[in-house]
Amino acid sequence: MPQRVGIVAVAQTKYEAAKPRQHLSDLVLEVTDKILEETGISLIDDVDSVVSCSQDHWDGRTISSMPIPDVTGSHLRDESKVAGDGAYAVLYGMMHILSGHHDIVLVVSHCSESQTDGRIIENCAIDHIYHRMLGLDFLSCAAMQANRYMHKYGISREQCAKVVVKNRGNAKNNPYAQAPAKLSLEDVLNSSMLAFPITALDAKPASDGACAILLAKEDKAKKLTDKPVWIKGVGNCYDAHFLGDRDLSACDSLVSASKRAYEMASITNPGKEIDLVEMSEMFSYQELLWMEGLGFCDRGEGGHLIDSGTTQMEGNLPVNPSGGLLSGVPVTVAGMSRVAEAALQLQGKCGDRQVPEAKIAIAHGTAGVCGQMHCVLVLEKGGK
Amino acid sequence: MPQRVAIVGIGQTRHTSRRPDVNDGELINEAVSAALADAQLTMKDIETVIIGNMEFFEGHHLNDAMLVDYTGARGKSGFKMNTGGTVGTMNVISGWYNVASGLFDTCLVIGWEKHDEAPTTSCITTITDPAIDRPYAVGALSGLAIISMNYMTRTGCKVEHAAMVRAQASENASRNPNAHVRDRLSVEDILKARMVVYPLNLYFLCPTSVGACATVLASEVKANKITKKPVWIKDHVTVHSDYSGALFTFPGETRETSHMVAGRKLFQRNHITKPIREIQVFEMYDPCAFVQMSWLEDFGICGEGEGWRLVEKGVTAREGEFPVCPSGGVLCTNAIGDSGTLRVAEAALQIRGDAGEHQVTRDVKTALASGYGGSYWTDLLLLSKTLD
Amino acid sequence: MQQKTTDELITQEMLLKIPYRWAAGEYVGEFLRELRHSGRIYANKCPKCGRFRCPPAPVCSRCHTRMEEREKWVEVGPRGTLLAFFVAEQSFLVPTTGDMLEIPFSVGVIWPDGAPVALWHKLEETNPDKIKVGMRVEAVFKPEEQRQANIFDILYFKTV
Repeated sequence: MPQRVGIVAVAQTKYEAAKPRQHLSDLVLEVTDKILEETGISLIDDVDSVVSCSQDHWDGRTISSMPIPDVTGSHLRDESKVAGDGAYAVLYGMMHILSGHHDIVLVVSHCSESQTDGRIIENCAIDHIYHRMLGLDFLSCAAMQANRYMHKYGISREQCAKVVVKNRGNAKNNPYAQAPAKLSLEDVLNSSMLAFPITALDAKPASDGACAILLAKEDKAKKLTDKPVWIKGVGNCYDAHFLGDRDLSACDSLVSASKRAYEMASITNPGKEIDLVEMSEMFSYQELLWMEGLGFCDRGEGGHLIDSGTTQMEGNLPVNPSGGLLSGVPVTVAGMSRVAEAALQLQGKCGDRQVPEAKIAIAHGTAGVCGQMHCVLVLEKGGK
Repeated sequence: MPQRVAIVGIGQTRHTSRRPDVNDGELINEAVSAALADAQLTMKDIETVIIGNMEFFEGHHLNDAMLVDYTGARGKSGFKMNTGGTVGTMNVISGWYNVASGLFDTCLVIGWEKHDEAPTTSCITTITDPAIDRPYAVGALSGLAIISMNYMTRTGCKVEHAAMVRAQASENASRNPNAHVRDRLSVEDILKARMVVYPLNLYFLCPTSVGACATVLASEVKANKITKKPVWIKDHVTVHSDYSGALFTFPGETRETSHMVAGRKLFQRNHITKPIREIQVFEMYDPCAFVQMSWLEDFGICGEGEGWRLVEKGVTAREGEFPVCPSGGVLCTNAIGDSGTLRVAEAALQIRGDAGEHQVTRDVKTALASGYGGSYWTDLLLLSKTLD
Repeated sequence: MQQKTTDELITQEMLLKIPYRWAAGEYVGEFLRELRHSGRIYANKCPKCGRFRCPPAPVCSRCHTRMEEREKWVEVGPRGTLLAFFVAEQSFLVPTTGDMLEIPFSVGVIWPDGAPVALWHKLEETNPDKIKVGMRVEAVFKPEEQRQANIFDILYFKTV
């Protein structure tokens, strides 16, 4: 029986609209030191490799991992970088261990969105020969998707607003959250319109922060913690890039990614077997659409799902008990922070935002326009 | 379950200064198509796609997602690596992890760069810290100039030795139809070239090239079904350095670079005590003529201060005892995201006996490929004809 | 329909201008404040392995021990020894300004007196025949009122 890969410990900075006191590497140092403090391990003697995750455009630095080896003990040691969403870095760290090449891997990610203009960055993620010149960014493309999705299935703005009220409300129980708030549906619907139907409160705020996760091979994980969280399944998939090549009312690549993850984790009925979901919703409609993609309801039923109350904290399947991205988490860190929050839930360390008796959780990361690529991890509580 | 991994398909484009006839995706697809054809596979057989390059070099963010139609990643797994100059070798290493982990049986690895689309040296300058040394970097050239000057100071190597290295590279590149700068150059030609960043003249430096390289990796079970000539990735080591890169050794300190650590680790793990005898070819990532000599020492191929002597004696020529970069190396072809992947591909071609006119004259069973970039970051891969 | 010009290669052009405001962080920030305020260059040391960093760093990159705090920072320079240098004789686009690099442009890697560290900075001398590894150099600061807490508060290093 091959050894499983366990999450031993996680760390996050408090997410904030701006962190002007900290150099990007200081953010990574903060979360790295938190891991060291919690586990008592030595970076130099115990950690075999470091996987970092950052984005050159966001950092304004080619090879944005250049300052990382200094703060992760990686001088003359193994360190590499995945460029994309942090969930992928967790996947890559997991591969380091499953391959037998390393036993203990530290995965880190950072991003300070406040240091630049995100819309220019996002515009650079859109193909340069045709669409970039239209001035598209993630917001405008998301608005397009939201319009399509809502038109096809009759999803309402109120249903999207419910996601915001839920998540910003959940954030009040999360000490790392940037923007907890008690909102009403009217607050969301009446906030300033950015691109119909997306209002300011329907969109993820810009954020700065970092996250770290310590992964270990099963036998070592059990020595390092009595509450390991096993990565039972993982799947990732790309959709087409050209929005016209996609059915914007669907998220085919998320369906594929979650299918692979469920198969690997032997999950046949996600609605019954999963206890909570931490997902990367940059815009409110995305939580509805992606619950469909994750297989928790049929196509077009995302609105009914939120109406049913199932995804509230008191419901059967709490989604984003942490407050999600809508409460403020930077891109790049986003997917890794979902893994961190889901792991904390399974370790029973979530205090007021704890989902009772959580045993199996989904952590989700995404990148690209309208969620072009998705990474889904199925996590299982280990230990007692 | 961990799986052993082989290279079962190799494809590369020709390399040149400009390719205005293709966009980035079309360029990549030339290499992808060639690799699939070489493996006699189709995109259906590929489970995951790993790609790497440096985003600012073409000005595109999240470009793995942008290029899915050309890389074949649409509908499949995959992600993007970015570690600077080492990304080419890191792509292969990442592909190795994808397959070795047991999560996938086949992986398409793509390295590429289209340097004609943005000012490369300016973009490389941004690898530096904006507050400390960004004003003082001139792309990669400044770092290489410093390393070169330091090598001459430490070992007595002369510019004539660097010229010999370049002349030899040009001889090799002239036999490689896919290399970029293929002119045969004499030592005199090279010494007369115009100065770019003293002490590095035009020929001591690599060119900026446009090109792509793709390799198909497969697990052991699949590899043996796909090809009669799998090239096994036996082992690999990645060693990075802190930001100061340990360029200088102060009194009381022992010189220790990432190449030195990588070489020691790889050879010890694989019971190689005399690499110059036990390995038949080295496709080294050599972005400037001086470092090829310095890094032969650092990797442990020869002793300290001996690198330029090896070149002087012809040991590193294609017909020599320890051929280095029979493809012409990075010195003759450098599309940065592509170069490391190309080192692995070229080393694999040597093992397969498929390097055509630039095939080394000895029988190749084991080969080395290296990547270099960042602030002295290293990848070192050991490739082998057989699994034992 | 016009005759098709098959020789024409279509391109799209764009000038990317991205504003950045990078946090220097507490350590480099303090280093730069000292350049402005006192015209002094500082390094700090790892209390465990003895390694120095210039500019000062919060943690040792070798052994991950917290480096020494502000009170124990070591002043280095203004004189030093040249470890290596380069002279750019070809111009390139400077990404921070959008201007072309003024050439010849020479930069030295300097070992400032007082700590075994290597600091990159502009050299006043641009003729490679007049620059020698091992030669002594000295930091020349801007007049105090012109300093802005950035690395250009040091104008260059002159040969002494």
